Amino acid sequence: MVRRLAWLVALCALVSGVGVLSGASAHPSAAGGTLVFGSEQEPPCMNLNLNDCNNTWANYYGQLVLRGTYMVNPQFVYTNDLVSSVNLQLNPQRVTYNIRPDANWNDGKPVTAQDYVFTLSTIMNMAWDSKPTGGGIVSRTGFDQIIPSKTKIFNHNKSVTFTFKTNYADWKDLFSIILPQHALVGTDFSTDFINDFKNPKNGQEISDGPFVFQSWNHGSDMTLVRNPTFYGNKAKLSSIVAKFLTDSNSEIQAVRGGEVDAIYPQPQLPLADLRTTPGVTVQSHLGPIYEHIDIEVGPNGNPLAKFAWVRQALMMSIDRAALVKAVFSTLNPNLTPLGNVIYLNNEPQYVDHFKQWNYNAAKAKQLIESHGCTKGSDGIYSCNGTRLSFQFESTAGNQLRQLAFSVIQQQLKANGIEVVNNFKPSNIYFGSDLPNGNYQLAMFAWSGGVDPAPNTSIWSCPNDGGTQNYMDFCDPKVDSLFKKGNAELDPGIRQKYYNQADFLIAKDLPTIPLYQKPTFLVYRNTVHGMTDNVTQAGPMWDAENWTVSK
Amino acid sequence: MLTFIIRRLLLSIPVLIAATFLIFVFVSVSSNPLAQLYQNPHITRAEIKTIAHAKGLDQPVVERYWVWVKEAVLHKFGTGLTSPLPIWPQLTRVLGHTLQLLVSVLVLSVLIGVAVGIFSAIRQYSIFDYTATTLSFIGFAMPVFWIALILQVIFTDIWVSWHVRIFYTSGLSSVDPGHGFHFLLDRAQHLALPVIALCMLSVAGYSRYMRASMLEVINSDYTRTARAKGLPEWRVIARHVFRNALIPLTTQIALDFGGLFAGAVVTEQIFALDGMGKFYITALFAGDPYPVMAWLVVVAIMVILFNLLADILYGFLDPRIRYE
Repeated sequence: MVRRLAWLVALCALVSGVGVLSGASAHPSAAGGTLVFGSEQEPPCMNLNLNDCNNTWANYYGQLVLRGTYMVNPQFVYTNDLVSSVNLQLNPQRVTYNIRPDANWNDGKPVTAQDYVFTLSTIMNMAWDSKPTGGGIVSRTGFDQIIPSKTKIFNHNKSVTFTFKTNYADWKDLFSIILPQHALVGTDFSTDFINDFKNPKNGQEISDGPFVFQSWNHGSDMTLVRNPTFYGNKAKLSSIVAKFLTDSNSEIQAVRGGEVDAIYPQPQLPLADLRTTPGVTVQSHLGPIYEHIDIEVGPNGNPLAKFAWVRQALMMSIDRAALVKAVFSTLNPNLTPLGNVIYLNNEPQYVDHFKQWNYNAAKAKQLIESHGCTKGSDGIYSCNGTRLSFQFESTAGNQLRQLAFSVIQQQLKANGIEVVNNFKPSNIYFGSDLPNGNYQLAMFAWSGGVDPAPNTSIWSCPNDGGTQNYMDFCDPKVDSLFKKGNAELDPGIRQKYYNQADFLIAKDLPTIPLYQKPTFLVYRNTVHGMTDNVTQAGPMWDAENWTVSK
Repeated sequence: MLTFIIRRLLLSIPVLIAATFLIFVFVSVSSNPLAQLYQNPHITRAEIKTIAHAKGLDQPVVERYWVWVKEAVLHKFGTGLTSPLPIWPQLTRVLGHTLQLLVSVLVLSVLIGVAVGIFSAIRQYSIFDYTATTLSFIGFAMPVFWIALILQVIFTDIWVSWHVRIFYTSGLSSVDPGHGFHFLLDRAQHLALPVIALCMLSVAGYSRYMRASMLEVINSDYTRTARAKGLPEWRVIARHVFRNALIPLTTQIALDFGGLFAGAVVTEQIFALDGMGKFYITALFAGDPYPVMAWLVVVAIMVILFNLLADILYGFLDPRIRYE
């Protein structure tokens, strides 16, 4: 009897021991818990449609609360989010959004077609631009193509069809945030969702996302809590706390020391140490932000820059592969130079059109000398009495840009071209010098999106939609290709138009693409389910899947 | 004395107006709060113009200054040009945080600095005196940002190695700081490193100041007379030397207190402290003159008031000083 009991006890111990071991080797995290995310910027406010609130981190946290038609996954694919399906019809272009039957706001009201219509009318309301606060609407592009009078609502208010005046290819980026009509109708939109996501009518936080906004200690942190009524995967975490750490060194120490669970900083050299820090995981990929050097060919630029051979010599004198290695090898050794200004390196449509100007110091020298330039005693060429010397502008106080400039300066000097440091504070650089074309060479970054249509404003002629064409570059053929691409709904034909445009841009060389900045998602090993997303969706795209084990 | 105070206050008004006008003009002319809009491919130049007009940015700078004065007086500084959040609640919030940090620094550095200064003076040319002098100069020489970064690394490494949390390296409080004693302890753990970093410079300054002041008094005639009268040494030091040596330091502390309100820009940035310095630098980088001006007005008023207080205190403590 005793022996049987002993065997029974031993068996129980064995089973429970296996269970413990299984538990330990199985996913160690449990539902619940709080994840503290170190944020490099504090959102100025939370109304994501207003310019005053247009901030990367406001968008990251905002999308946890207000959802849209699609979520872009890390493979650059638009996946259905708020909708169960979307239908595209042609001639004329009509887009039908079929909203998920289970999509509800957390106050119990369903997400309906009225919310879509309200979002459109709010964005198209020009009155917000004249308000003293808010700074106007971030973007009306595409929405201005919709004919409001032809909007159709059906399927018990769960489907809506919008008709477009002309074909608009970037339609998938429309309705990326849907506003709650029942909460915001009749309110002053320029003052809604500033400090929180409260329904102005009842003072309650509103959400159709995986989290609900809870509180904001300005200057310190922001808290979002789980939304149990979310239509998608219910969040595993109880809450996410955004801790504002605006200094990159503080971010590094905070994640090392466990004061925050994750960070998503801009790439800076000190981050390299985190790759070898125990207890911490780093995910780094080619990011959407790409660095480039614009060459001002307008009246305020260097007179020599007007000549194509000068621009070609500039690019062929820069060893971009060596530059990428010098700047980013410690952060991400897999980076390569960028060879397309419309598509990113990690997009399937990418074709390197700029490789014809890849580093070739000898050819660059030959090109310069074949145009009658002679080297001075200081090793710098003079061409018809004009020194081959350029003012090089970028943003002051940026360590990476300073390092990149130093490398570029040395490379160019070796080939008889001088560049002089003229770095300036960002609000002067972006607020005055760039928009007015008051520069000779300007190094800064553009953010590439999934859809190439926004590049129209950069590469079109200044008098033909090129509102961000700071270089004064103008090629009517490029304009025409962008117009065709922006109106072409077949993705295969579309990408050909844009790549043809990129080919022409590369041929004329008003800009020198350098590299895509790497993303740097760092999290402690107690965090699970976190996946980097280099698209505009950002690192919070799958926050509902995150867990934290303690 | 009253005439002196009133005259000083009245003279401060044009100084304040001139300072605010000059800073407003400099910040407005040298930056563009709508700079980020030019980076947005979806906004046309016409829309930027509309937004600029709505915010009054197309008006002459003198007119904009007058608008700001009205906002400041009637609406407690109103809102910023790049943010819809009201400025006054932000300013009072960050002022409170800065005072927590810098009053702690001031109190600690005065206590330590005065003690070290006194002992150095009494034991002039002793090992303690030489050590204190050397450490003072090291304290002067070390940049605050370097000390701050080193402290962060040291205490993070302690946590990484032994999982012992002595001090936090960023922020003012934990996610859930608790209440009462727990809250105070959490706040102390967060403020400790920035206080240590700032104290190193302040202690160096106050200790040298106190030492010099003590030495001046300790060798004076009336001190010699007090000793000659047969007073115990401790009484000579405490009642005659220390009190008289404290006069210049007291006025210095009053002046420093006024400067506290400006915040410690670098320290607050490194330790992610939500204070006046961080508030100011964030607004400056955004090119938004309104929060900068609000910061300036608060700091200027405090500096003016505490400068006046320092002068009054000096006259009060030293009967030889009389203000006409």
